[in-house]
This record gives sequence, structure tokens and C-alpha cells, in this order.
Amino acid sequence: MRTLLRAANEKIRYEDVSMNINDIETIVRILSQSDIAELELEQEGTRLHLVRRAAGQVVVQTGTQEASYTPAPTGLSLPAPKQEIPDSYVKVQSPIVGTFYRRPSPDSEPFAKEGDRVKKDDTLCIVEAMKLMNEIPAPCSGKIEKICLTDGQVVEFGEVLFIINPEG
Amino acid sequence: MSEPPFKKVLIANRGEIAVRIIRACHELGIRTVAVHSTADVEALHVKLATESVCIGPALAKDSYLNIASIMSAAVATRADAIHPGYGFLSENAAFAEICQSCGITFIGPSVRNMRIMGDKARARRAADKVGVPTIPGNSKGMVDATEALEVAKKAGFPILLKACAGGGGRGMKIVQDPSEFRNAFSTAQREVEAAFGDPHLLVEKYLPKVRHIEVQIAGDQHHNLIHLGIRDCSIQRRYQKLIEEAPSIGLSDSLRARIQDAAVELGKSVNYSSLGTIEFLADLQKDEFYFIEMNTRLQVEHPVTEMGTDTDLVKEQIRIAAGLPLSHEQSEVSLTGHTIEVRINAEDPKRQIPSPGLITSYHPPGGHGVRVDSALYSGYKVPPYYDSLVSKLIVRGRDRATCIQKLQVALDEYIIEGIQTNIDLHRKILAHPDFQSGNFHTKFLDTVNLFSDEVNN
Repeated sequence: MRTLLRAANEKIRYEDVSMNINDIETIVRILSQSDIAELELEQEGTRLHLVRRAAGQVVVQTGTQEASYTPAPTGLSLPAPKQEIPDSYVKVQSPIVGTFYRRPSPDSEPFAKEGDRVKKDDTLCIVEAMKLMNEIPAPCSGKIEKICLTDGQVVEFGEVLFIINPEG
Repeated sequence: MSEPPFKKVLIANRGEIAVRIIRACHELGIRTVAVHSTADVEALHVKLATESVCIGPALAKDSYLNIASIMSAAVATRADAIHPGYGFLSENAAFAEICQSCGITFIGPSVRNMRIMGDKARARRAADKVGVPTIPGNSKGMVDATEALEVAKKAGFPILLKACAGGGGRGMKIVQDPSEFRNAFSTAQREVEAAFGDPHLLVEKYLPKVRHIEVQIAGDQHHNLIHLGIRDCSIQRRYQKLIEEAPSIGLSDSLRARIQDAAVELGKSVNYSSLGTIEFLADLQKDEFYFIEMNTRLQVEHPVTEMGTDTDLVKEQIRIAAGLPLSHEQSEVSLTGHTIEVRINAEDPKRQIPSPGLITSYHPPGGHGVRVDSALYSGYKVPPYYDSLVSKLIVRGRDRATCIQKLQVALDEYIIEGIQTNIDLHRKILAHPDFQSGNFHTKFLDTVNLFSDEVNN
């Protein structure tokens, strides 16, 4: 199941997500709170097309039906809108292309969580390239302010994986 | 629409050819992955593709030639095929082999054919085997200067030394006299080893007044192989093609037929599949032709054949890679009208060095029989890290005179501001009486001084 996110200034991203009705609700909320204008999702036999019409309102179209959905405010945590990152914060960037994994193996705990304090050279995550697991070390000590990707996401060269506050 | 030949193709290239391949894929219903360096974040091929992945920093060796990075991107995005374009990894047999072992289709010929026909000495031997004429010289790569000198004396001076590996006209050296041979040989060896990692040189007689005539072939994986006509690429500067046209003016029907037949014969003898171009030198006066080399990839000048024969070579190449049979039989292919392509480079016309920079104003020509293959747009910054070809203008007319005239009008309409280009050089070539009358050969640009209207001999 693949997701294509399209927006004026957004890059096209490839993400692997599984979808159910709760996910559609979540997706609509994310859409209405971002500056993404259009979202297309495809799964064998099913296509979901979401288009932003008016502020806060999203049109949901599955197959031939069209329904309007105005999201009610909830306590769901959503990706925060683009915020200014202080200059002192350090961006941890991927040196290679691959797939981002937060844990050493599917059943283990993640290497690092938001809010954790890490030391320089601690392993933060794995970027897997062609079955080789490359551990990405922390370039400095500090507090993990933000984890920028989700598990299993494709990583480009230079992509920001983590933001560390060295004074944290 | 029928099932697309692939679900997703990764284009391991950039610039105008990446745009070309992306368009062909989208027309076939195939999703595309553009890979790019950090210097190409705003490149047109990145904007047009379904998805994109940054694969490395600016330098080609770290990005577009970075096999590990490209394969990672292909695996991570689940591409089922990779199109290598031209240049970069397109003739790298090791890369094709790696694709194969990862279960990803390499859109090009077999690894075996890349190895045989990509090596000039081996390709010559393949030509010798089927009786296709080759230039007097040796069909074996040489490393010993003494042996090579014997071959040279037998073939007759002047001699041309060429790299066995590599292409693009690099590492070529003309030796006029036996007394210069040893020095030239060892210099050429050093250059060629540095550039291509292989010191073997080919020793051939140098032919001064010849035309460069190449044949486009296409073979599928079901043993069908056809040609799609010839292209005359004689207008070159330092072995870099500048203008290509089809058909070739002054080439007799019989010589053309013999060249085309030889190309098909050679292609069939090695069981070639995918697109390829077989290059020859033709002496129009002596009515003779000689095989020089084969390019086992899509060529820069493929649009000349596309416009002349009304075929889509890139779509065909993709279909062939997916195991589909050729779309046309030989009898269905015919070259009509006259087509000319000019390669527009971002370069300083006086010093012939690259001229990267910000395009402040861009307006391409258009209209009946006018085609532009380019990745330029207004506001685009042409990066300094890659080759200087920024656009191809291809024009088709009902005959050569009409074609030249249309091309001149199109060049006058073409606006590319912010960088320097060789558009003015093309205007001068097209206006030159020798070009117009067909009185030219591969040394035309070296023997004619276009900027001061004097002829140097």
C-alpha cells in the first residue's frame, strides 16, 4: 500500500502505511492542519483521493462517492507545523540512502526517543541499505528534540533524521 | 490502457535525457523515481518524476556514478527496473550485473553484449567474424609499443590511437610519422589508463576525409532485430558531436544499404537485444565504409531517428526490456523527410569552456516539425558539475534545404539568457555553403574558421 503526498512545495515522499477507517480520519486531520493540498492513496482495488477545498474542510472521495468531512478537534498528536529550529541545535543527517529503523530489531526498544539524553557516538538509529544495517551515531551529546522520520521510511542522502539540542 | 511493462522505473541519470525517459515512462503508465545529487534539487527531472531520492553530494562520482547509492534508492523505492540513460553508468557492465543480481531489470542490452561490443577490440573481432569491413589496423588491444609500431607500419601512417575501453572521443591521438610513434603511444597509454583504468590501445589507420555514419538498431529478446536508418554525425569538434542528421547528404543508396545491412548482420551475429548504435566511417569518394565501434545504449541523437521514422525509441527500449516483441517489422520502418539536430551547450563560444549559471530568461521555439529536448527553465541554475549539453533542438522538414531553413528560424526564436551557449556557432555552421552543399567531413569544424570567415587548411 503506497501513499503519495503532493503539495506545492513538498517533495514527493514514498511511505508504506497500512490503512483502515481510523487512519482515514487521522489522515484527514493531518491534511487539514498542514499545507498539503491534495492526497492520493492507492491500495489494490481502492483509491482514496483527498482534496482541500476550503480552510479546515476536506473533501473525501472513495471510488465514486463524495462526502464532505470537517474534522472535529481531538487530542490526537499530529505533526507540528513547520517551526523555527534554533541555530545551536544540531541536525543529524543521513550519509547514505536507505530505510530508517528506530530499533535494532522489530521486538526491541528504539535506540532513542524524543526527550532522551544521548552521548556523542551513541547509536541513534539504523539506516538499512541493501540488507546492510548502518548504525548512525550521535554527532554530539545532548537532548533529542525531534525524531524526523517514522519507522520504515525511505531516507535520502542528507535527510535530517534527528534534531539534537546540545545544551539539553 | 493495457498493463504497463513495469510498475516503477528508476532513472539513473539527469538533465534532458532523464526528462525524456520520465516522459516515456509516464506515457506507458509507469511510475518514476528520479535520483539526484544535492546540486540537482531543483532540476526539472526531479520535479517531473513521481518520486525522487537524493543520492549524494554534487560530484558525479559521489552521486550519479555511485552504484551503491543508486541501488539503495532502487531497492528502497521498490523500483522494478532502472534506465541508465546515456553516459554515467549506461555502458557499465558491472552495474548491469548488480541490477540483475538484485532482481531489478537493467533497461539495456545483456551484460555479455555490453562486455563484447563495449570493448572496441572485441567489437572489431565480432565485425571481422561476419565480414563487416574494419579500418586497417589491429583487432587486438595493444600494450607493447614495439608490437604496436609493427601494426601501425602495416596499416600505413598516419595512425589513430584509441582507448579500447571508454568512449566519448577521449584518449584519441593522431600520429603522423613513425618517428613520433613511441612517444605518442606511451603518452596515450598513460592518459587512457588514468581515464578508464585500462591501458589497452587500438591502432588503426587514420582516415582524413570521411563521414561519420551510424546505424540505429533495435533488437528484442525474441531474436528480432531491425535497423531504423542511418544518422550522419560528421559535424564534430574534438570528437564531440555537434550536429546530427538523417538521411546523409551525398551518401549513395547502395552505400547506405550496405552500411545498414552490415549493422543488422553484426547485431544479429551477437544476438543483440535492446537499442544500440553501430558507428562507421564512410569514404564517399571511394564508396567504402569501415566499422569503428558500437554504443550499447540509447544515444544522445536518438530524436533524429524518432522524428525521421515516426517511432518512439525510448518507449520501445522499455518495452524490449520487459520482454515484449518489437513494435515494428523492418518493412514498416522508413526514414522520410530530413531531420537535423543541433546540440546546444552551455559554453563560452570563444574559449569553449563550460558556462554554468542562472537562466534569467528562457523561451524555446516550437511549431510544425520543431522539437526541443531540454531540462532548462526560466530561473533554473545550470550547475557546474556536469557536462555542458543543456538542450537539443531537432527539426524535421520535407527536404534538407527546408529543414535547414526551419532550423535557422527556430534558432533565431530560441532565447536562453543568463548563460552563454553555442547557438551562434550553429547559426554559422548552418549558413556555411559547404555544410549546405554536403561538402563536409568529420574534420569540417577543424578546417573551417567560422568566426572570421576564413578557411584554414
